[in-house]
Amino acid sequence: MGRWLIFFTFFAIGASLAQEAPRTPSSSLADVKALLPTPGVIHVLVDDVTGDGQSDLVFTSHNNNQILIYRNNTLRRFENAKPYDIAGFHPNDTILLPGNPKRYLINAEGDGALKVVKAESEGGLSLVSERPQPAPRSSTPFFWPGWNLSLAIAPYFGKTLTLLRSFNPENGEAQEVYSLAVGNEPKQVRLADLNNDGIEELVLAARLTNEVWVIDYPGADKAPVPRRLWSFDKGWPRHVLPFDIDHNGTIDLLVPMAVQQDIAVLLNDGKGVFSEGRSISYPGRSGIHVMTAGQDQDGTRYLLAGGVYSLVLYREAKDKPASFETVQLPLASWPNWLELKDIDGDGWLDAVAAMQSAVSSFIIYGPLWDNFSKLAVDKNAQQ
Amino acid sequence: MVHEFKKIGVAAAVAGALAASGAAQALTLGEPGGALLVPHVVYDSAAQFNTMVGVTTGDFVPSGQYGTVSGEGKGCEGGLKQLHWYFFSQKSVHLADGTIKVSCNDFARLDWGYIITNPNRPFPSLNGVTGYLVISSNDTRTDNTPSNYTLYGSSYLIQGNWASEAFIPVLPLRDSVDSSVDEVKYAGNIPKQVNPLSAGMPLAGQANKAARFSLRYFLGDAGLEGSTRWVLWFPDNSGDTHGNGKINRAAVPVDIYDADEVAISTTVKLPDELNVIKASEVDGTVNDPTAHAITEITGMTPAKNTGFALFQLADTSNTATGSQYSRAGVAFSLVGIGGANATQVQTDLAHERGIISAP
Repeated sequence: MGRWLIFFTFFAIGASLAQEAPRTPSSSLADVKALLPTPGVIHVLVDDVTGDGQSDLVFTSHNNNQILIYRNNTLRRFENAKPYDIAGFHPNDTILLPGNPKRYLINAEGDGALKVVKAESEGGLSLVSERPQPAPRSSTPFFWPGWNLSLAIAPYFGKTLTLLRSFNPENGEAQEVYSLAVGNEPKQVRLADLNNDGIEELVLAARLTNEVWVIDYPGADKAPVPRRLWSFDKGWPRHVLPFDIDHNGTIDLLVPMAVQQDIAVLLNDGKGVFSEGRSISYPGRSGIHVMTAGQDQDGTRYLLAGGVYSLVLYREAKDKPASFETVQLPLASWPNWLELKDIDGDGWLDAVAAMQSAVSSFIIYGPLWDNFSKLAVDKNAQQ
Repeated sequence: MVHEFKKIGVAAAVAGALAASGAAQALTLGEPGGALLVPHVVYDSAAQFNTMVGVTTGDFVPSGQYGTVSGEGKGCEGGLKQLHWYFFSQKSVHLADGTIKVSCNDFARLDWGYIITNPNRPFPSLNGVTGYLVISSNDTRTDNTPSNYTLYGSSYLIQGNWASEAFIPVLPLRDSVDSSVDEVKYAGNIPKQVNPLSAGMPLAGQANKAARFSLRYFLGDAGLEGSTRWVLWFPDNSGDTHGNGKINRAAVPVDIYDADEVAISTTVKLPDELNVIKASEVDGTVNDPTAHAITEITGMTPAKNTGFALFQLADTSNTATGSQYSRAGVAFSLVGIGGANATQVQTDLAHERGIISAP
């Protein structure tokens, strides 16, 4: 009986979503913004799930325990979303694993597992493998010399980052498992070659201890040892973004703060030694919940940051590197994830926001600066 | 007589021992004290708020069983005695005081609205002022004599035309002579330091530690009106000196959780010793997870605009640590529900999660 009730619940949610078609906010802005009804989502993955050359959108609804796929069959026209309940209770990010055949990995927090799935030709998702992992929040694939496809897994809460060396998606097995203490509440791992040795380091923020940590390649047969790269007095850094802010050919780090209206800047001397640069202010409320960066086809570099009730696009001034102007859009809620990708294949970066609460997620098409500016003055198009 | 009322930490051996041992301590209610702290008191004729405070004067308790009572607490023996009440503003400025006649196994009622409007001795300027009360023996005002009573407190926030009666936790205090175990210290016959170390929620008491606790909120939605006020009483105003540092609660970071464990970070201001915060004015409390309150029950109403705020309250910026710097307080939610003005209010105590390394 209980199983039927659960089935009915998912069916009912799915049916209600399927009836909600993607829409544009108004006819005059049809080429600017597309609204995608979502039931409160924590993450979005941009990927060609169907293999037809178009970018699809894979939303993960933490609240409704679903994967929700918007298929993009023709230019800027998405099919009604289809939900899948393969992710289990309270799932987190769904990512694409590098390699062939194409596999996706779900951080299945409630089920305490990493789930590897594949897309079926008829449109569904099916389980390929599964391995236990306590409450995974996000996973980052990486390769080191002597390490095949490996994963850095940040927890939903706690102090332990997990590395799976040479993870096999087909059976969920790993050659070695490392549990590393990295401050309090380690967040998503990013990859960056900080010391220009040709090998990417793992870099991440530890939010509650206000730190940035790095894990270097340890050598062929040694265990990795985390090192604290930076400590802030306060601010609760929620992300680290590798970004060459000073255009000197080395990767610097942007550290958006969750409870300060600032993006801290850590400047790299090229050898992995950092100093704190001038921070970038955030005009929204409270602080930054999520942030991403991208460079457009005309060379323009963007930052996109979101928090409570605000989405802020930063554009770097062409004649003044590391100097940014902003356009701020009001939101009814806040984004839990942002992507800057060319979704429609026109060469311009597009912005995708996965929204908290029952407000629609959305795409803002490029050229971003022009279209953000249009939306900023069109109250009807704002949420 | 009005005094500037500035607090610094009060040491207490009882709580100091607890802190030293690492033992957990939660809010303690129902036990007797030589004195009492009523952390939230208001009368507002326009908003229809009032506070009823009851003081039960017990006869005695076995000596040593309650750290907040001196000896057997038999101070009421021998006929008519007097207690003394003191009212302080949210910033701990002394605004009013008076006496209460009691004897053993007596019950005294303080109708705060009547005290303010009493035609024989009115306090009209206190109408609409939120603050807190300290009640103790009238004999201990010089701090040379302990309050040798067995006092129990009962307090309720009344809203509307008796539309609701919300429980206000009353904390027992040890009011001994000025020493390391004195939780009420006086200056000029008025309490100048109040620190419910024995019965309150402990703060860290040392640098690089924080008290972790959460407060519930419910703001309602179109189907059910709701409102929430968070009440946080902790010793010191933000900016006060403590040890060799300063209390800084200008922007306390918190995580606001919805009903599906998704959190967003923000800050709240705790400028005063007594802070009352409208949860609706804190970013992130208006949310709609859209999920079911219990996923196994089909059709159950989604839990909108509800969840909890998780605090990790660093005690102070001072580096002087040890039991003499220990402090404690109390926090709770006043959750209103139903009706046009959500006037039916009930109390939800803070959920304590212990002392942790400062985030």
